[in-house]
Amino acid sequence: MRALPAGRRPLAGFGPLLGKELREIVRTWRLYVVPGAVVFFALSGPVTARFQKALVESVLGSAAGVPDPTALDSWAQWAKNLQQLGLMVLIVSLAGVVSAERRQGTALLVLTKPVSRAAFVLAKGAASFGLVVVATVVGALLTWGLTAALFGSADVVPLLRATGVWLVLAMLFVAVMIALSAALGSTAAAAGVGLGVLVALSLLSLWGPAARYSPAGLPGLVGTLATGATTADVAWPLVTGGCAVAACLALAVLAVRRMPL
Amino acid sequence: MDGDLSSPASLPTWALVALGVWVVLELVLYAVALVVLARTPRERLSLPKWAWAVVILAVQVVGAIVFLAAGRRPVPVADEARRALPSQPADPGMVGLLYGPSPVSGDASAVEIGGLVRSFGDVRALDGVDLAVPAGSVYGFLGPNGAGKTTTLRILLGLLAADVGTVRVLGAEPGQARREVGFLPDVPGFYPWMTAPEFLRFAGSLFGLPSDVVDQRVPALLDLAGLGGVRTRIGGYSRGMRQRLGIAQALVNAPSLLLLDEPTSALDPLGRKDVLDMIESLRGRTTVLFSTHILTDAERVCDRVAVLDHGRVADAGTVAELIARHADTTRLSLVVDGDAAAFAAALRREPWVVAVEQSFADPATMEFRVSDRPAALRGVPRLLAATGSALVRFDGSEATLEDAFVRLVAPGSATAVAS
Repeated sequence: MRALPAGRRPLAGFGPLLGKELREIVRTWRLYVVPGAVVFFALSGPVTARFQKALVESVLGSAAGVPDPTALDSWAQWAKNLQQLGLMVLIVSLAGVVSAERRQGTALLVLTKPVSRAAFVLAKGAASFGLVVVATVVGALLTWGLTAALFGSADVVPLLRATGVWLVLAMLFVAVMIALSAALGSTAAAAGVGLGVLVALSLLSLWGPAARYSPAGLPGLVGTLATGATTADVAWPLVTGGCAVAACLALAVLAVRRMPL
Repeated sequence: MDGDLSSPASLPTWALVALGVWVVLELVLYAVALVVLARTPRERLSLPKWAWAVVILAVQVVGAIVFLAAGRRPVPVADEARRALPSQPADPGMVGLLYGPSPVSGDASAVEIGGLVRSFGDVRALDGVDLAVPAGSVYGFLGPNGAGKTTTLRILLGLLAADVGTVRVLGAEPGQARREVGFLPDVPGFYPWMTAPEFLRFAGSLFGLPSDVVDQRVPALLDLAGLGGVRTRIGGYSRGMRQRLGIAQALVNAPSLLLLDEPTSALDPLGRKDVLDMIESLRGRTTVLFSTHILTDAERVCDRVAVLDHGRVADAGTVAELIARHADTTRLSLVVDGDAAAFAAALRREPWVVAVEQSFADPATMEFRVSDRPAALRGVPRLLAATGSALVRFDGSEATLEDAFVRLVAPGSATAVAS
């Protein structure tokens, strides 16, 4: 059921829709889920890194040979939490971003007004990604502060690099989930397929060319950069990741245009 | 590390863990208190928001706990708000505020549909609909379930494309005139976390209305919808309150064409009266096209109606025209005191009687349809006298739109046969 073309302004209504999305984040449960998880990672990562050796040796004894923890272990823990649990929380929290509006009838009331469907999609993307950025920056600051308190001085550059690459990965999944929520019309289905995409990306990263030239390399980059290592294989995953974000958002706009209201 | 407590790294393990847990709890408490403060409407706070923010941050844990425990007044439950709702009639002054002094004039049609066909797979929902809605009129769109009413409205809104046919909305292609169209779906959906004024302001912003215009219209629209005193969020509204808010949001842009899908379906009798009064007050100011199952509503407010059946317009015209064309019988009812059986038998023998039904519980109560109302009004007293019966009650209603509607859409009607 294709909708007829929108008005002449391609992003008509973007401002009010973005304002609505931001107010919705502040006024509903969405404010707590992703930021709450990120803050939890930020606070638990340094503590875990600091006491992991003591915990392992309390079970296995000093023969376990665990090296003394450093600040890099804290960054590695932060990166690992973001990549595994953080993306899962993001996927589940965004699974209903479009389908819920269609189900509760608000999409019908909004899209029968002079707003473009592209603005409808992009406002959700901008607000969701804005929330992820703010939460991640706050989390990174907390991680840095707690790591400095627990380990003394801490080189923040690996943390910044790893977090920056993770934000690109997060933006990709924001775009993927908006597209899935619009196309599938079911929150559960979108969440399931989103988690499947996460698994598929992880499996694809095992193949060398995919890891070097596609967004599948982004998760591995996050971990590598967090340990303080440098690598030349940064540009292609970031560029293709950015292109994938644009492609997913375009697909989301197309799905919303075809979405029965 | 042993014995040296001069830096955090030298504290005992248990102390570090406890410190970490305390820090986490404190941060969570601050975050919760600040978020709750941000989300609480200022009229529910005992102090200004900035003052509570200072208390939470300066007095730390105690301040956050004091705010969460005592800083907010209880919210009125939606039931109490509903009971407190005044039932206000539609105020024609509100219409003037929205539309100004100039009525719609001219013979133009606000909606023109020609040969409209739309199928969904093998199902032909619309099968050649022709319709013209005069500008400034209140036009009823009637039909049984599945007739194609909602499909037609969605094509007018540009949500669906027609397979065949021409559609013009305010002289433009469907979807191109959205700035001038207001729409109320049969089950309007709202964001439960918004209040009614917030939603109306949001709706106004989607139309690109200046904020001063929106600020002027929102209180008027809330009063028009009988929601002026309601402070709760939309999530606590009843079905009727949502319907009223739906009508208000459909009017926020003072539309030239108002499309209403079953606007009175969820309302109690007082609410229905208010909505119908509002629709009547819009006559001449804007064009109203509304679909309904409630034929008495259409009979009361509509200038013209169209009856849709099996995807085609079975007939269209004024209510009086449809009744004259299709309601060929008049229903009468009475209660007699005396020989009810003899009276009923005598009634059935009269040439102007089409059918007689006696109540199973009380045979003295009868309903009968007649083809000649004047003859019936002269004949009933004669028959009462002939059978020695007395008249207890008599109701001689005129033919109604329902009579015409039933005849138009009944199985075996021309429209049904043609499909």
